[in-house]
Amino acid sequence: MIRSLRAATLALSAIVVAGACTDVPVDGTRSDRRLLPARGAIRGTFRYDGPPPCSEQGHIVGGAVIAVYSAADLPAPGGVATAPVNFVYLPGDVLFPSLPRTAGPRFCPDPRELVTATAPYAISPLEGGAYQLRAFYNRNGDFLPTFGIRSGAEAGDLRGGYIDSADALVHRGDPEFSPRFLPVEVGLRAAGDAAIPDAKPTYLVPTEGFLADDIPVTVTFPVPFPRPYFHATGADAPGDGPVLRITQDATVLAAPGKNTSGTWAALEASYPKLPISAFFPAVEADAVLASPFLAKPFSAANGGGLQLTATGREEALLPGVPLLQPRLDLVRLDAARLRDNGFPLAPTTPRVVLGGFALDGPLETTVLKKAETSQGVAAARAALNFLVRPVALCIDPGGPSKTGILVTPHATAKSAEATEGEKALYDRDRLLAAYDGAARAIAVGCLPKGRYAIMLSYGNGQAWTTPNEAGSCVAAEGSWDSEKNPASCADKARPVLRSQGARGVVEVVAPTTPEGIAYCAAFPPPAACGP
Amino acid sequence: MRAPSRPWSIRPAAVCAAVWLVAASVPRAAFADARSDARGHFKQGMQAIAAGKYKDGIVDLEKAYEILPHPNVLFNIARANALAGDVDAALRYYRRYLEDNPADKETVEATVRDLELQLARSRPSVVVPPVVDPVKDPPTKLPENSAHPGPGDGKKPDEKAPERGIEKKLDAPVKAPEAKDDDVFAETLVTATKVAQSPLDAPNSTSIITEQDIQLSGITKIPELLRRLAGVDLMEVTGGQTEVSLRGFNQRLSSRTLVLVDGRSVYSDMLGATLWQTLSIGVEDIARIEVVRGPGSALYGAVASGGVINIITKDPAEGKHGGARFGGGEAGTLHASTFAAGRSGALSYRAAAGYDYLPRWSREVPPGRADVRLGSRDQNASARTERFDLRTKYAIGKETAVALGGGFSRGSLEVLGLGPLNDLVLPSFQNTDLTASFTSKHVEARAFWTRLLAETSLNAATVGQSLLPTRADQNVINGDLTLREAFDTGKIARHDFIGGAQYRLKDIAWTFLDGRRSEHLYSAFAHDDIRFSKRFSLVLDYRVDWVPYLSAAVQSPRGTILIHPSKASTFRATVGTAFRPPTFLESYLQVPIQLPTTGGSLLTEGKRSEDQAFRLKAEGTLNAEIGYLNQENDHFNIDASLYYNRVKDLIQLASARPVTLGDVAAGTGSVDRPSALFPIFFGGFANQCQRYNVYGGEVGVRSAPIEGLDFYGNYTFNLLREDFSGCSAVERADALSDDRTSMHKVNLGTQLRTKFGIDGSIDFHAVTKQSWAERTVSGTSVATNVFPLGGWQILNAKLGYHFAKNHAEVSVVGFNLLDMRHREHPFGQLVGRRMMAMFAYNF
Repeated sequence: MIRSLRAATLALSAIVVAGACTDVPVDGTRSDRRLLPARGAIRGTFRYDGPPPCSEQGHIVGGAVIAVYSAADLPAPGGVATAPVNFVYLPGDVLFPSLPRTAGPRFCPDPRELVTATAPYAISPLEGGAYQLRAFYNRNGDFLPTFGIRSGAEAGDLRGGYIDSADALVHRGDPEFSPRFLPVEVGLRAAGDAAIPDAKPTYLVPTEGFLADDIPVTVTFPVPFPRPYFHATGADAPGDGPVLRITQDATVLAAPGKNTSGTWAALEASYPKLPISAFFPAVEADAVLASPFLAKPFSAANGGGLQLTATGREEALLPGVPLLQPRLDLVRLDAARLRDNGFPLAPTTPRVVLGGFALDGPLETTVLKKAETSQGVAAARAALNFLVRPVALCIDPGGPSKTGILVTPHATAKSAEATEGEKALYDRDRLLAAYDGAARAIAVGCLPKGRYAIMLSYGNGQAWTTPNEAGSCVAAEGSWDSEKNPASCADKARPVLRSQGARGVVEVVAPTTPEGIAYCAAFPPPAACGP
Repeated sequence: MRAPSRPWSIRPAAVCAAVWLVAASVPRAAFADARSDARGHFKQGMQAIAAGKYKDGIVDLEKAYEILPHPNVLFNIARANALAGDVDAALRYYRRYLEDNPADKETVEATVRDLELQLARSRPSVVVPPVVDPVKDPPTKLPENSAHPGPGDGKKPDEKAPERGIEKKLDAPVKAPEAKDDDVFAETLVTATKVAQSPLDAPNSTSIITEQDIQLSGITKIPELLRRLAGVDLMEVTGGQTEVSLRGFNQRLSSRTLVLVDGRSVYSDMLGATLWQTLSIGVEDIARIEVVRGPGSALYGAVASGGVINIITKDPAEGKHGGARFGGGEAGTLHASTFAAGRSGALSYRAAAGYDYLPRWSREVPPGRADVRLGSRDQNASARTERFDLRTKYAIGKETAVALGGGFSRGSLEVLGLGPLNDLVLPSFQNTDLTASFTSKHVEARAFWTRLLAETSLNAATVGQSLLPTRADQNVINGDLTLREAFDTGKIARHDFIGGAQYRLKDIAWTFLDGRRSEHLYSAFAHDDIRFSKRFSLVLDYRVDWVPYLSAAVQSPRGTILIHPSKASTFRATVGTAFRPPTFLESYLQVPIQLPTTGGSLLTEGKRSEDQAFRLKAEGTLNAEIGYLNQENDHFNIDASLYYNRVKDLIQLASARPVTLGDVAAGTGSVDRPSALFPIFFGGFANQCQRYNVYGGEVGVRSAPIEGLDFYGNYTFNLLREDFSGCSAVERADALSDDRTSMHKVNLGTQLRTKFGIDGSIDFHAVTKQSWAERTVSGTSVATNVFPLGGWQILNAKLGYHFAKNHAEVSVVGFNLLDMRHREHPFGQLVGRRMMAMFAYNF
């Protein structure tokens, strides 16, 4: 009996020992997959170099915003993305833990002083990919991430990112300077599909995750001007029609060999023109400065209107015409979101972007005043006209290729100088170069139909877009009386600004002439532009 | 990254040493206990004694006592020996009986003195009078109220009479006390009506997990014991978290089932759940678990909307004994428990201590992740509990006692929380209770204080995401007063009336709440068991609860008709209501839950900042039930119930509401300074618009065909139908159908006890598929999706061997023996097989 018991207990011991040596299995199939698969993260140190921040009620006002953008879908300058893929906020209290502060109402120290502060940051989760980090310090503390009207850098803020610091040092003091943002790679890089033109590299996050560590982010460039607030002229009128309609087969004149006053006028007249007014209509001015919008007024001190500057480049279709900023981008919108007043309004996939260029007065005058708006010199304007370039860039930021294609209805056009007859509308290389490598080919086809948001941006990345949240109410806010301006949302009261509403778009519509219809049937928008 | 610790690395050696100790012991024959077997012997023995077959009766009673010790059996053995003329044996058994300090101690002591006198007379000079059975040969000539009558003198005996005076009383026969023929081995429960009664008289469907069930199952987790019951939905979510509900509507923090330990609520008001691993008792400390299915608000108020689970611990007055049990198993599972009980005069005590280490079933975070931060260093551990429990009882007279006790536990725990907080850890917790009670025939008063002190954190978060560390301090002070009285209303009916009142203070400081919150709850209840005849009775209950959150008094009535076609069978029909008010979590939560967008949050609030007038409603249940229970046959019992529940206003996570500019204009939506998160969505809780019609039934049988062998089986049916008629179009579009209760559930099992020391059990559990509507977060979107969950089957078994005069046992216990891997919640861990080896020693 004793022997058998001992045998039994030996067996029990074996079970226990064997059991204790077993490990807990890893579960990679949980339904919500919240933590799996492995993700990427970016970590580093944030550095602030600038005037001391304001304080109030015992707290430092504002905080640093570090936004992560996909390298394939960048915001202005260089892109039209309006929302980052991720962001982190470092409150001023964290960034300046030992800085003296007032317990009373807001107090701002002498801005001529300079302080430096650092704090660690980390952002995750991120899919494998190449990213850019753009950052600014929001000095007024009015940043709100989900509303485009309050998510951008404003006058007085400091901007920067993960940038080429040597380049930045050279250009310090240039208000229009756009730092050279460095890429952050998350994941293990592999070559893209060789069969895809301009294939993007792919980034694989290993099973143990990927941490892009020690990525410094610096903000040091003061933002001198308010954002380019605008309303499309006529957008504050009742109704929901667009401020500008362009037919898919938009036809413009080709630049002549040599321009005259007449040809400039003819060229200008042939282009779709989008008149833009700085700031907001007078009837909306009080509301837009108050909560929840908190726009910054244009004043003499901060420029007094839209800042017109030259980029030093020329318009792609019109040699000799200086390319001025603000830059105009028209971004095709997701029709379903438009119908629902859903914000943030989503661009379509693939992106379809029409470009344009600003005039400083008539086209001819713009050319003649080139010197006045030379690069780095800003001039405030209360209103601007933009000519819409009948060229659409169709590109899929999530697709396998780095580049998209340019679509234009016509490869040739009548010259603005009648004696030159029909001629090439554009120089291929020059046009592709104007898109900074974003396009690899030019296709002849009608422009993709749809409503396009109007986006103006400065070279430093400040941007403004209509339509935006200020112009309508989302479902939870209730309806509003479109006859009033400003109106108010019924369920959650706040002003509704008609100038920022559904009319603030450009619409590409079907051709109205038999010839146009036939033409677009023969040359429809390419599939790369989506439905 | 730091490698996970391996807390179990040294424990196998300890377990092996223990097992070696067992090997060194000399095995002896053993025979396990069984209530039904003991009951059979007891009944046979008492019948034999009544028939004058004292020796036969004594043999049966001794068997009954061997199977399941009970003081009444000792008394009856003593009495039978006295009747049989074996005064020595009678005295021996009476003295053993008195060791338990029984309520009739004084009377029995007098009997002992009489027998001692009788024994003294057995000396050659003394003539021994016969012992008289008062039933068969009543002493009609003896004066009443005289336990020690003289020969017709009518005087009360002098209890302090000197030895010489004894001679005067020796001529009288000694009167044997009346037999204690109550069916002490019959099932009784106290939870259904707050008084001890047979399940036959209970107004609800009830089940009891006995000490035998616990011992033979080998299970070391208390809630796991409940899996075998009909109508109980059990969900092992993590290694240390088991959620239990009754008759459906289980959830990750089960808030609709009231769990009591000796009548003391252990429901965590903070979370709205029972954190089983924070209890200060182990399975070895449990005498039985009573489960009352169906709404219990009429007696117990809030939380008992699904039913009541009452864990009855071993009584300190049980006598002097002690023991230890420990063992371990796969993935480092450890269980250790020890206890000691004793008595000094009227004061009795029971002290217990234990330790549990429960590994996770599976881990979500593999080792070496570079992109993840951990809230718990040990990703293998699910729960660790160190516990200590001390209960004392002081008997004052026959039916009066005061009790004082307390428990303390500490450790760590992993919990699958709600919504996006779906993987929480409590890196440390401390749970304390202090309980005092006074019990008499007509009055019962009890007060207790419980405190749960815990740190919480997410189990893991990617770098840059907050682990949401918090600290919680939950204090509950509870006072109950219960009055009992039996009276007649003429010749019409006999009433057993119970009335009572309760006060409960909940005071909770938790980082997740919008501030320190206190609630004072008041309630009163009345229960009347009206027996019109042996065949027919009516049970009426009414309770009113003041719910501060609702600023309203909630009423819970219940009425039950009981018809007894025979002595041991019952037809039952019940109609009642129940409610569950919002928990503190649901009422006062205010926590920005970080979204995968690092700087954004789902601001989850009980009190909505964008809608100050919003208030949750209490969940409500209307229950109608019929049942049948038959215990006529000692070898076969059947219990069946059919019920209908109409359930409304269930509280669920509300749909995420995007923060709008209107909210910003109203002053909300700005950054939360401590977390540096911007609210992108508002979250919280909401009442479901849909109502549920639940049609269900349970049928269970238990059979003991031969001594030492038991079978049980039960089947549960649950059909849920949603009624969206009360939903607006918007609500209907947002509502998701959820069918989280299996339609079919089956339990089968057998228990074996042999005279050779081998015992064991096999339990089989199977449930059918479910589907769960759960909230998940992806990017900046918060969505509710329906997650299907397949059915699962579990086969558990235990094989044990008793030796050392039945004092010691070695056993092997297997959970999910066939390793049928499954989840019991869509986000739950992957439940697999766990084997354990155990050693136990009792004295």
